[in-house]
Amino acid sequence: MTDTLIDALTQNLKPVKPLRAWPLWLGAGVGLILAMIYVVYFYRMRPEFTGAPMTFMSVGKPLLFLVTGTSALWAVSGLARPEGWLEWRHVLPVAAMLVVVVGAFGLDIGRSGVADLRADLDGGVGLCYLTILCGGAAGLIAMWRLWLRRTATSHPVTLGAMAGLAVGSLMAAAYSLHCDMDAPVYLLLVYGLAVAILTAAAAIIGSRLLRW
Amino acid sequence: MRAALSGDAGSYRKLLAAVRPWLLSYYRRRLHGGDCEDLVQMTLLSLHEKRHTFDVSAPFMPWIAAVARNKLIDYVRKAGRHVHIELDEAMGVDDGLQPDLAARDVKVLLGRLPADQARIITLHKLNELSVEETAAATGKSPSAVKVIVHRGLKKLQAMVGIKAKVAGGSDD
Repeated sequence: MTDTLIDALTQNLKPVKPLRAWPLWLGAGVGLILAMIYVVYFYRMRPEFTGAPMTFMSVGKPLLFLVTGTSALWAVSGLARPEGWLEWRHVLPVAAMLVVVVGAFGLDIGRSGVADLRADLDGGVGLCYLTILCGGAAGLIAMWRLWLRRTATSHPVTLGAMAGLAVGSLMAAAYSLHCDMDAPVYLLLVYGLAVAILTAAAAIIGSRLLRW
Repeated sequence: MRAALSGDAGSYRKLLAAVRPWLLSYYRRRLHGGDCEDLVQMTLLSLHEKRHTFDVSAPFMPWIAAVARNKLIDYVRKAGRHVHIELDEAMGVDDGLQPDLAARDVKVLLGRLPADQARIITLHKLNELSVEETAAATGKSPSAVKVIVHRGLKKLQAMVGIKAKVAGGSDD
């Protein structure tokens, strides 16, 4: 019986394209550029990029999400094969970024108190959620169509979560070219929650679509 | 596997035939009372469907072991609580590991170590020279040889996914 199966599998054997990581990186790069063009064209850039004096957060915020997204993409490429696993070096940058934001949030509360937090959250919340969630979902669908469905992971939930984290963070990086809300509470509760929602949704979808 | 990926049916048949006894042994050792031949066939089908995910620069056995493990988990999930399995991740000659497949993997893995370290491990572990003979052949002290071999073996274990994982088991 097994011999018959081996005969059937080897008959008319066609070459297959091996799974490579570079289309994932290329796709993510193209997706990020498209997202940046969309944000700049429809929402306009934040004042620092159009002549106003530069601030640390005008560059630091996009960079923070870019590092998170890149390291999540790295984890995705590491998890894509059956023998792949999530390594510490893949998640360390994400953890470091989280520590930085939570640390800044704590310092902010210590300095200004809880009362000022509401003022820090006032502005563009809906647009930020909508952009990150819709753009991230579009990115996730594109990633699935072009690359993820060819993977064979032993960790479908983790791979899904990392894919969601990657597209959410890259979309947040693109959106932060427009958004000038830089308070740590805004980063945590608006950007962070939007990315977390995408991550959780992608983990649930991954557990169904990426199973063997 | 590289030849199989490029459509060489002869090489692919040889590979499937070589993997079959290993799979059978792998399942027999872990599954008491299940239909191992059925599982072998399902694994060969999965191997065929997912063969594009094999990295030609990586060792083969961790890849096929992961495929086999996933099929075993699938089988247990479907069979429910009526199956007894051994959670033994070790693999080797007891599982009918084909010497040529093992030799190819060892070569690939040693190629990822620094040349000096790979040479010392080859002399001591593969050519079976004693620590003193290896030390004399490489110009190192015996204690340095021991340390280099120990660290090298730990690196090799990490490369095939032993003890270096954040996500240990399968997600679901």
